[in-house]
Amino acid sequence: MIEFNPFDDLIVKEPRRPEPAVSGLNEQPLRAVLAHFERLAAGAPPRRVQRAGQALLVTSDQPGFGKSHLIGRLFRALHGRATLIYVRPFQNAALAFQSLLAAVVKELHFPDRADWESWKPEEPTQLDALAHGVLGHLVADLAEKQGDGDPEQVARIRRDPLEAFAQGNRGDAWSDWMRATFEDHRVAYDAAMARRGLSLHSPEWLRVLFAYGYGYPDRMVRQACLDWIAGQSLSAEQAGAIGLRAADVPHAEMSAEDANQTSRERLIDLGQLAAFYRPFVFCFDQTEAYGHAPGLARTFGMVVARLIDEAANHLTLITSNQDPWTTTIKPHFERADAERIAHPPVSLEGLRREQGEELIRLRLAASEAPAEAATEMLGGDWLSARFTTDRDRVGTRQFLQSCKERWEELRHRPVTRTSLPELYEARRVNLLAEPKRLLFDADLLQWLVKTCADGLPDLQIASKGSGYFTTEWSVSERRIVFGFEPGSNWKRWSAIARHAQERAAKQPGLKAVCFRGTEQSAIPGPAWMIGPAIEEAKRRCLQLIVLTRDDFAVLHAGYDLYAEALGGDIPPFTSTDVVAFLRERFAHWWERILAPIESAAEPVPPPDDGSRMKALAAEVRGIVAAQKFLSVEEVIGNLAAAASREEVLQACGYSAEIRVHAHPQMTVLQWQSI
Amino acid sequence: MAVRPRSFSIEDAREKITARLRKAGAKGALSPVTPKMSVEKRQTYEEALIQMAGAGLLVAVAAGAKTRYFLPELAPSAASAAAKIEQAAASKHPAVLSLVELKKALPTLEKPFVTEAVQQLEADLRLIKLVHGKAFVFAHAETLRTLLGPTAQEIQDPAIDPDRMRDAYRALVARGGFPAVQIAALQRETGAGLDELKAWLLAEHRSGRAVFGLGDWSLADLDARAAAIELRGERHLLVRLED
Repeated sequence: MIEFNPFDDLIVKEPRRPEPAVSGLNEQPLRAVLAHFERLAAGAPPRRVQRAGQALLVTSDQPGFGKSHLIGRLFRALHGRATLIYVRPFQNAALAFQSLLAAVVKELHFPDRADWESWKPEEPTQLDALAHGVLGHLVADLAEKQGDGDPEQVARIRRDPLEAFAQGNRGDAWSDWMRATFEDHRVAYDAAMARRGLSLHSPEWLRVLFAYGYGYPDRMVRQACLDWIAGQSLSAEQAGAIGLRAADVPHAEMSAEDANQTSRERLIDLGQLAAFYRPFVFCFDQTEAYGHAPGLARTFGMVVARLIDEAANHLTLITSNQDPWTTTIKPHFERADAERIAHPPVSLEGLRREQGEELIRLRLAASEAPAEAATEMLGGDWLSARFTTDRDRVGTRQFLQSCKERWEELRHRPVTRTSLPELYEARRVNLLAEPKRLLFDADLLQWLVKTCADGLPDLQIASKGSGYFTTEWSVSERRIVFGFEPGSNWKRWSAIARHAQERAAKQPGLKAVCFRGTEQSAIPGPAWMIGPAIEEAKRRCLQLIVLTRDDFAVLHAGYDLYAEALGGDIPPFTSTDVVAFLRERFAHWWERILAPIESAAEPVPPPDDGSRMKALAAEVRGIVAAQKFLSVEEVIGNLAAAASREEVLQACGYSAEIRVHAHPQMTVLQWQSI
Repeated sequence: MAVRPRSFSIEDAREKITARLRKAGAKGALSPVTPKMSVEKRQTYEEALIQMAGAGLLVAVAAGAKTRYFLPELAPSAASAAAKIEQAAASKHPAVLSLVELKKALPTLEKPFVTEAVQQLEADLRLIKLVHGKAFVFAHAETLRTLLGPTAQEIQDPAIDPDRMRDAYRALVARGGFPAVQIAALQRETGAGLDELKAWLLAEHRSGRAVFGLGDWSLADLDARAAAIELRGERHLLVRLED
């Protein structure tokens, strides 16, 4: 019988994972946030382009009052009604809008539902729904204006544009009609958009949305659309594939300012286009990180203010603990920017005694603990020592920590505080089951080389403006520069290789390091004419580190631990403790980065086509659904073919019903009906 | 393949400007453009300065006939000017200071922020605006509070007046927006003795009318820490008063 402490999980690590909610706890703050959203979502799409109201600040007196839990409840309440963007702190002020847009595009390219069915490759993504929403409603507008459409058909399109056009599949009459007539009707669609009050920065949106919505299963076309929406440059071939001229795409050698400006315009345009689909909700969490960098804090205020002033159809939510907000974040805002945030903030509350009792029962039920466990936990005057009166309030995490200790005491076991390595490992294991996080993330990588590496012996770190290489390491006489290019445009990579070589020529021994994810295309691409020159740069001075999903889990686990420490979520550990721990833990990363270019040949991970993972996900799902509660090792023992622990955990990420409990001695998988 | 000499690009200009600003630190740097520079290079620098200012990568501050440039985090601002003005007002007490005198407390680069800084200090009740003849003068608020001490009423009756305490709490909530206020701020607002205030708050807590919050010890100043209430082995910096 597997037994673990039901109160081990003190932190909501992923807001989208279902967590039982205590009745009445923070109900009022949740209702307040929902009320702001309802104004945006009134009626059926297409809606008018609505200005955003002020941003909402959700605060708590102390860490552990349930900010992330509230976001989780909000996300579930708005599921299917809003495009929900969870935003972690950006690391480069010059590219703040690019970071935010990257989070939006990443989310849009995932299906809406987080359940098993949504992992079918043909399941439409949220961007499919947006593209069909825009085009479908414009078709309906034209039909109504010309008075020549069947009213029932028009109503059907308005009701569900994605379904009406059969998700853009070939062979469907309406879908084929759209393909055949899109170019002829484009001017009329533009006019229809203008009549609805939309004024987009780029006139090419409809073409890009059409190419994406009707481009499945052509991965190259859809990736080109995603790159364009993300404000990245496209090669002539990519641009041609979606019907754009070279002049319609951002320049390959655009500056950081231009890239950031393009991203800002794309965000504003997406806000307007959301009128045809559903509003955005931006949740800026873990904002305590800005309190340690005045420049970032000031830019954060500016980003929020620009969103409020310029982007329509969205609700912006910021979470922060009260003291960091008032003393280290807001003081760096421009006054005008601070005024874009509603006053007073939405304040969270602690648990009352009766809610504490309910939380105990919920946790025990979720872990299928025996019935007498509740009597034990709730018996005696233990609770009275936690709550002076029935009206007293205690922070949720503080209370869970007390429960965790009592659970151990009742079993006559010593209460041990979880160590940093254990906290880190629990996060890594849980992250393996979070497929949305295990992708290229420029901010994460900047944090690795700027913040996490700070303090390594003999290492000086400098931010280097806004070129291709924005961070520089000086180690004795050596220089290592870092670039965080997210795109796959050959021209841009050609420029990166050229810049690396030019700098290496001036400073012998200089190495340039760039990163890729295995989900991204290889650099150089197989058909690139510039390929040999890039390979030559790789031999001389350019190191491309390709990160697997396991690598991203390792780095994100470190980052999450750091962010939690900044937010006071893992007392007594501070961010300094965490960084000191990670500097040792990531020793192999520093070795990999510091290796001379001659010996820095990067292993090429096998291509990630997803088919093996899908099969494994189905098998793991079947085993956990049947047995309800078992360890990862037991699952591995039941598999038809061998799989690693990491692979099994990744497979769990494809089933929202599987909950991963990472404990120091064992990782347990639990089936929870949704 | 012949290698063409590379011209001085915007990218180069931005890198050089960033390095220059980093080196200059809080003193700021003048424009990198020099009279001997080629027209092409000068234009490149000027364009880079405009772009960087537009993107928020530097802050330009007019200083007499010249402009100084700063990295955003090191630029003079209303907040930095406010700190210096408050310090000057405190050090000059009991004298009250005019706006011109307050401006003298600022280095040249922060002088343009004097009006905004004073408005900010007034709004935060850190500076008190008074009228003398036709002129406005300013006094340091905290010094006055300390000087005034408890009112005659309080001296006669050292016990806490619950209504006055709740009024002060409501004023703090209205000003800051947060229902949890620092115990130290409540003490400053009311002038109550710290020991009496703590005793009263604990009694209110036992009656279910006050809830304590931990706050963030690492960010608390000495006054806030001195006012903390220890309960169940933890130090609470904040309190919510409930009806």
